[in-house]
Amino acid sequence: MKQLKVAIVLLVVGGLLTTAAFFMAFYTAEVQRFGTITVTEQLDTAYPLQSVSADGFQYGRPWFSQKIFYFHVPVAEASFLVFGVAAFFAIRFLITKRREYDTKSRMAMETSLIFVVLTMITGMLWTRASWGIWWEWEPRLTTYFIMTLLMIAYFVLRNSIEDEERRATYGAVFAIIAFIDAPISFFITRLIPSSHPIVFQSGMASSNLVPFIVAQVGMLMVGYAIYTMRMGEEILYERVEAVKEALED
Amino acid sequence: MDPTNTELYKLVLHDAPYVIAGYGVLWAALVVYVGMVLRRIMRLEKEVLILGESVERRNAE
Amino acid sequence: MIPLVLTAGSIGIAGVGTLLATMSVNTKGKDFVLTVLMVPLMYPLLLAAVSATTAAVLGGDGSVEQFWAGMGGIAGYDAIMLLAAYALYEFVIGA
Repeated sequence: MKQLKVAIVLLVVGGLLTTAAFFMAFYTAEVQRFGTITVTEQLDTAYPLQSVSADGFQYGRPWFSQKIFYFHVPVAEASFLVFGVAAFFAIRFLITKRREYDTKSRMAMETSLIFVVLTMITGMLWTRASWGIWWEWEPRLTTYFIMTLLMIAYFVLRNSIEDEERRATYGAVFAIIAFIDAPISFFITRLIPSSHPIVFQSGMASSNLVPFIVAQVGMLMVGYAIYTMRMGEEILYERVEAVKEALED
Repeated sequence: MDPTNTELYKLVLHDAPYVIAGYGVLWAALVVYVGMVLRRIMRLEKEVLILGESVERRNAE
Repeated sequence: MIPLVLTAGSIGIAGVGTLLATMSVNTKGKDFVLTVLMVPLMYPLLLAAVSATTAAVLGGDGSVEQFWAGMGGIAGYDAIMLLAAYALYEFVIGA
C-alpha cells in the first residue's frame, strides 16, 4: 500500500502546516480593526481610544472574527480547486471512456464536498460573529449554496442509476455542467455588490499573508491526502469484490 | 467581577466563541472523516487476508 | 419587455432541461431526480429573470439598467448552458 503511505505522510505534513498557520494566525498575524465599540468607563487596553462623547469612550474594535480567515478561505479555495479537478477528470473520462477516470472524478468530487461543507460551517460561524446573523441571501452565499446542492445532486444522480457505464457517463456530464457554477460563485463578489468581503483586492500585510499561504498549502495537502486515501480504498474494494466474484464461480 | 475587566473581556471575547467553534469543527470533522476512511481500509485489508486464505484452501483441495 | 425575458428564459430552461430530462429518464426515481438536478441548476437563471421582470413591471429609477443587467445575466447563462448542453448531448444519447 504505497498510496496509503503517501497519503498518511501528506496528511501529517498538511496537519502540521495548518496547525502552524493556526498559531501564526493568533500570535503573529496583524489584528484587523473595524468599527468602534462604546464603553462607559475608560479602559487600559491596547486598542486605540478614538473619541470621547456623552455616550462613553469609543475604542477601535479589534476584528477578532477575522481570524477565521486563515482557515475559511484556504478551505474554500481548495474546494473550488478540487471541484475543478473533478470536472477535469470528468472530461478525461468522456474522451477516453476509461473507468479509472470516472473513479478519480468521483473521489475528487467527494473530497470537494467535504471542503464545501467545512467552508459552509466556518462561514456561517463567521457570519454570526461578524454580521450577527447565521445566513443571508447575498450573491456569494447563494451561489455557493447552489454549488453545494449541485454536488449533492451529483451523488443522488449516481446512486439512482444501476447500469455502470451509463452511471459513469451521466455522472461525468453532470459534473461538467455543475462546474459552471464554481467560477460564477468565485467571481460574483467582484461583479455584483455583495457584503461578503473581498480580501485580496486591497492587498494585505505580510504578517497576514504568510499564515494564509501556509494554511492554503497545508489544506491542499490534506485534500490530496484524502483523495489518495479514498482512491486506495476504492481500488482495494474493487479488488476484493473481483476476488469474491471469482470465488463464487 | 471587576466591571472594567467585564468591559475588557466583552471587547475581546465577543467573537471568540464563534471563531473557536469554527476551528474546532473544522479539525474535528477532518479527523473523524479520516478516521472513518482508515477504519474502512483496515476492514478491507482484513477481508483480503480472509479471501487469500480461502483461495489457498480451494487450491489445496 | 416582458416577452423578451420570457423568450430568453425559456431558451435557457429548454436547453438544460432537455439534457437533464434525457438523463433522468434512465434513472430509478425519474421525477424526483429531475427536480434535484434541475432546481439548483436553474437558480441563477431564475434570479436573473426575476430581477429583469421586476424592473420591467415596476419601472422607476434605474429600472432600465436593472432590466438590461438581468437580461445580460440571462443571455450569458443561455449561451454557456446551450454550448455545454450541445457539446454533452451526444454522450448522454450514446450511453
